Amino acid sequence: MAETAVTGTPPQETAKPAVHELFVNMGPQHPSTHGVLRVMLKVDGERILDADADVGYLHRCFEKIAERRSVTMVIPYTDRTDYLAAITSEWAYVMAAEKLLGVEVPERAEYIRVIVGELQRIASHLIWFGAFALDLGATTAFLYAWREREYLLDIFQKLTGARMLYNYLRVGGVRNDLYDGFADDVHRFLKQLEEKLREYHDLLTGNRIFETRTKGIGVITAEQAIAWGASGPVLRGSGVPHDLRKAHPYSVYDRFEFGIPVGEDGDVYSRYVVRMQEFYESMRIVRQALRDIPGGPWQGDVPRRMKLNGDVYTRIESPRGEVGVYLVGDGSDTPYRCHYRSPCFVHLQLLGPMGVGHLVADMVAIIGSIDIVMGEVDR
Amino acid sequence: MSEPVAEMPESLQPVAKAVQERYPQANVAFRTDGWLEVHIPVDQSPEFFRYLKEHPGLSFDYLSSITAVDYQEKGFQVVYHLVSMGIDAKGNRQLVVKIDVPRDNPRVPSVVEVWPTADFHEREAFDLMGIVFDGHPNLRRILLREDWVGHPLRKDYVDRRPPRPRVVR
Repeated sequence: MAETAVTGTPPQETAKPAVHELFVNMGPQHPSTHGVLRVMLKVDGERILDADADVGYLHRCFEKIAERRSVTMVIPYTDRTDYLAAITSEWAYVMAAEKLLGVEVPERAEYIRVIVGELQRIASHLIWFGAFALDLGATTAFLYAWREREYLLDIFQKLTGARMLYNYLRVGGVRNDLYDGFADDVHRFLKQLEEKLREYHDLLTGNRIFETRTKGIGVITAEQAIAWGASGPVLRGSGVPHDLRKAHPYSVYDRFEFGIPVGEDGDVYSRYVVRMQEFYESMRIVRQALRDIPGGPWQGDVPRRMKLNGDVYTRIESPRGEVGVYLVGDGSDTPYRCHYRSPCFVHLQLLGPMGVGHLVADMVAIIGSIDIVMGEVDR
Repeated sequence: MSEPVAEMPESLQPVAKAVQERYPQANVAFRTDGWLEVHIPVDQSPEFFRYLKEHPGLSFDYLSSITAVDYQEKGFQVVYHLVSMGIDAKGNRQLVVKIDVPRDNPRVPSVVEVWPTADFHEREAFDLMGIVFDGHPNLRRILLREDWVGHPLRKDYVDRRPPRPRVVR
């Protein structure tokens, strides 16, 4: 065991008399499961033979609730699916409603959405950075990340009145305009974050213990990632340069210059590298958007009584991956059917392919690297 | 906005042609939101999906979601959203496949063999809508607990749990 911990390679099979198969429940109450996730592990000693996720502990049937609310009343519920990236979950839903209604979104509103959306990505990745490092035993990184996130939440609070569940996007625009001095606040924050990111890299990137825990762990190939429906940093970590902001530019993403960070090995470390790079890409987008943001209204013309007709599927690149909303209307102002495709729900299927052959402690790293939010998995 | 329009983007034209030629019963239409919509009868699945994935000119290798809609007396509709990732410069094509199934016998063949990611999607559709996916290796409830009665996303679902007492503080 000590040897494998130093080399960081998956433990090799050694000749053994017999396999003593043992069934172990990891969770639902486990500090590394980020909520209530139960992973059913089949282990031989410390080595994982099979892993299966059991979800549903936070299920609220958001999709049924949405069928009983008017179009606008659903928006606060979408906040509560992916509560660490509320803006992007709102965005996917609002975009679907706009497509069904044929509502035009004013340019300023699109820019505001891009700005808050990318700030949200930064906030979400900060939590991921802290929680992931904490899972691996690095408490300092956790405290550092939450410190920076606090400044960002202050900006969000000034803008929307809330710190986590914003209820900020509306069908056809956003609820209120940016406040005076918003750009200065954001520029100050980004400058500060840029300095602090160097600290983060000092803490983890290149750290021998960290690399040992993450390199070569939880590998999935590009073909596997696509076949298993991976998206976001998990897919890009396996070397597939696929980002919905580039592949199917929604909103005004086609006007900005940004890169798609791609990992090489498809392991936990690659996904770490991808997310760390995404901080910088998001900062680039926010700066460009703040520079180019036009004046004008922040809310478009929306019919007083919204009548949804037909069906539409919209996909959004959330911090965790591809969020999809399938919205069906029957001519009334309530969604007839609202399906929410959550990236983490799909990623949890990968626990088996990623974890087999590794140690139980590596499962903690793997769960941290796919950045799960149980509110989104269970909806 | 599902009205078909005349002009279809170039990347989707070969898809529509290939599908129409091989499956004359399929109903192919282009949607204004950039998706190609195909209605197929239930007995064409899963061969149709295997063709979509494995035919080199189509290569719909990415399954985005499987879901089901309850259209009450018209029966259920199982909806598949497929994407070709376009790594080899084939373009990012999007395809939505719809299969109508009768209400009294909501069964469709499973596509887990084609895309392993279908596993959880199909279990969710089974759990919440009661669609039975034939050939699924592990068709159990996923979000609700095992002893739950009924499928909540059906329009005729009645919550049979006893009403909660009203607490006045």
